[in-house]
Amino acid sequence: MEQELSNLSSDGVSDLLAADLVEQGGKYVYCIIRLDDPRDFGEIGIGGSSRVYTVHHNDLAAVVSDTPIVIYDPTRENVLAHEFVNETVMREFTVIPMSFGTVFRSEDDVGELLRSTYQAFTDVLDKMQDKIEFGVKILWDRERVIANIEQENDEIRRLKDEITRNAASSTYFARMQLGRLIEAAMEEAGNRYVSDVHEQLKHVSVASRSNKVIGDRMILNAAFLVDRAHEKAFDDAVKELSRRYENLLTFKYTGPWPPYNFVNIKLKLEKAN
Amino acid sequence: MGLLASILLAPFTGPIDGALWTMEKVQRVVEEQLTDDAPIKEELMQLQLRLESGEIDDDEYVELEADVMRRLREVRAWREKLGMGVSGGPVRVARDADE
Repeated sequence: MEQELSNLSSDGVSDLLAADLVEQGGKYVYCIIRLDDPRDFGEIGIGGSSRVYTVHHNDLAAVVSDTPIVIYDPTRENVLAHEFVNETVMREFTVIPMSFGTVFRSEDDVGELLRSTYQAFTDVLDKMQDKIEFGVKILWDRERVIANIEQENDEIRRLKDEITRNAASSTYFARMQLGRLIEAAMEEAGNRYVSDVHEQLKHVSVASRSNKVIGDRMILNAAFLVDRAHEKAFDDAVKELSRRYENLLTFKYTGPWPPYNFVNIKLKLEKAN
Repeated sequence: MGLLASILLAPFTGPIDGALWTMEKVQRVVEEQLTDDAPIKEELMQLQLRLESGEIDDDEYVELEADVMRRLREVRAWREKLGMGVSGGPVRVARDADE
């Protein structure tokens, strides 16, 4: 089975397995870092505050906690626990985040992961050195955007006035025409906002990735890779943008995250029976 | 029978094979639906947004989330049944064939 290392994806303890059949001794892996000496990150692990510590191979370490061999559901609680560990580790280290829910059967298996993927991890750690990720989602307020368009667009305003004045006689066709003009103007406005945001954030970020928008109010769902040294500048740029568009757009700004969207190592993993 | 073979042989095999081909197609579509977790994950993200915006409260979220988790598990079970990759769960580094 091939599994993506980077995508935050899956899993709460699945109740597929009866508790008494659950095998102990597994290791939940959160991320890979560069570290020579063993380290204890405290009792912050997934599934009930287990101890988070490191498993080593040469200068690489996997950040893990003990777990029964189970499938973790991607419940909010579990995902937050996974993210909290990565955030904690990230304060001090450059991390390669592991996809949510990855469980190895033993410490030896984790060691094998580090050995077999040593070169790829090393390369990516070099590339991601001192880089962090921020999420920028933009939601728009349809009513306000339409009001704004009506103000700015003469043709739409004229047509609308006409329809209002001659409410009784205005044709179905004229209304259709108005709807179509507004749709087109909205699409154009959305594209303009999004490209302005990209333009303003380009100078303060290393790379960006646009993900699929969620729901019908969202016009941008992007991740930006930022150099730690430019964190403040990026922050200022986002705040400036949200001021500029404060009456039209809502900015949802999250992070810093580990570079979930910019690391994509295909691990050769198979299901452990 | 493969799609290409079906097309090439169509004039000779006629209606019976046509019916089989349709069955295969139906089965493929059903399998795709059973094994695609992308729409469910999107729903989960929407739930999160609704929670953050205050449209639903914690209790409602937990209830709706449980339903999403149930469906994710179903998809996972189908993927395993059909020998497709799944994310998460117990794994180990794949052994090469010659080892």
